Amino acid sequence: MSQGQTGVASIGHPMIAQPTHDELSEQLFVRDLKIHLMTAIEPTQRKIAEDVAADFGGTTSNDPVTELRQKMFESESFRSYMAVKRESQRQLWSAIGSSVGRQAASLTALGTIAEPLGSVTVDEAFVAPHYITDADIHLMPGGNALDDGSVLQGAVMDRGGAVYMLGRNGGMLNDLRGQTAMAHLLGLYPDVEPVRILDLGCGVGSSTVPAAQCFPSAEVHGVDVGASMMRYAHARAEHLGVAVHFSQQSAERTNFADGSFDVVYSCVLLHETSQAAVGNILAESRRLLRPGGVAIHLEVPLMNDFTALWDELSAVLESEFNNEPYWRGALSSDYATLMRAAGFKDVQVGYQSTAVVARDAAKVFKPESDGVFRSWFVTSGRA
Amino acid sequence: MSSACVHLLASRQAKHAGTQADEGTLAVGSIPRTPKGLAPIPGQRDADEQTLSMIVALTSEVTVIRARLDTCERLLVENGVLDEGAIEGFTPDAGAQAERDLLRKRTLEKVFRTLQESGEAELAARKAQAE
Repeated sequence: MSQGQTGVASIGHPMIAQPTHDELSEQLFVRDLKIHLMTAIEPTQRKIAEDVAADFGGTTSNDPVTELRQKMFESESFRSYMAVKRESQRQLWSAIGSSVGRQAASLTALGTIAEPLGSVTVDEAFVAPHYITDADIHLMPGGNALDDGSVLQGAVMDRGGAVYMLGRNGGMLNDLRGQTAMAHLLGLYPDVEPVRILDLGCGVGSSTVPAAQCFPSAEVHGVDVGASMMRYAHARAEHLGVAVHFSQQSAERTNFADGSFDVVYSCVLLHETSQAAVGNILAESRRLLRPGGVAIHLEVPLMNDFTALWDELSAVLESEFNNEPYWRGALSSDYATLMRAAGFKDVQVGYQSTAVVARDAAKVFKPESDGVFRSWFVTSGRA
Repeated sequence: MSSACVHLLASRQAKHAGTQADEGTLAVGSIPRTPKGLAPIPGQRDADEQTLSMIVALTSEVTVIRARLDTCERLLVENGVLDEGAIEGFTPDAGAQAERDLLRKRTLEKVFRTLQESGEAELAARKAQAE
């Protein structure tokens, strides 16, 4: 990543909650605590785990991860590590929540767009799926579907997400996944000139805006489960000067007509859902595409590609203690089979190198992962 | 220096009050603080988890205070109130040193109170048993 690109990525946008002097210190503390846990504490736990796994012959066990998990929780230092790790996440939301709450009035004012380029549609009768309401994803208090009639939960999610990603996903824009999905489209499907694009499970729109930037003449839509999130996503996109139409809908079944999109994509959506939902989302992305249209689903690296048992255990623990409802399932699925079963042709499965700006990116797509944040798992196919 | 710091503190309080007046607390809704779905950490005592959480929160507070003090010092130098290195070069006189020593003693007593109490309780129990 060059200096210039880093600069661009860290510019941010007008809608993001602005911290005071002390709030920024508080947020940087959370960021650095997480880095400290990752770099100073976790490597020792990893070594202990390797030692423990060697003792019980981890490679020959039927379920080595479950066995390793059980053994690790017998260790006091591991339990403390887990407790502080979770507390770091709770401190993140606590710090962001205070800062956003303080700015309620100004954020609400910023969220009111006089002459919008795009739109936002919320559905008062909408019932969020169980995987959203069973437990708050990422421990974000109130969860993704929280709606108090404001933009505040969206503001919490946006700022929290940017701090959580520790600047590895495009700073305060947090948009590298969307850029990477678009780079995949440009690289593998150069013939597609999208007129209508849909981002499923778009969150605050950080991965949706790159589609509108990459294809300025296309009509871009985004759907997700939270009304506050959708209002915020709308305001955020407007402040970034792009037209996006956000609506509160489930990615499993939207109200758009059959064959009404050229491109349907999702970014790190699948692992926040369920086994049944993944099938439904893939089928929905197929239903919505016109013949020859392209679906792209981007995820974190799959578990089959983890080389160490500790990485697999870490994934299990993320699911259990950071409320990632379908982490293990989504990351161990055979997407080639699932995509074909959903009716896609020419199915692709691999890793797309992280793009900072889709059109300028190298557009590298290959079978193996370059590691977390350096590349993203992508499956795609044609209708 | 102390009057400058008091001035800064006062302006901070005024600014903070102003901010609160401008923004209200939560205009539309309230941001919740407790997430749904906190799985128990196997084998971890609640009290230990709470203690660790409090230490993390206090560490956060300490870093925030340290950053604010750093800003304060830099602004004082920048605005010519203090010379560069004035803080490092400062030696308290006997009276100031005695006040500081007292403050430190109070902090130690406060933080390590439970340690003292548990030792004293154990000793008392041993004595009672011996009698």
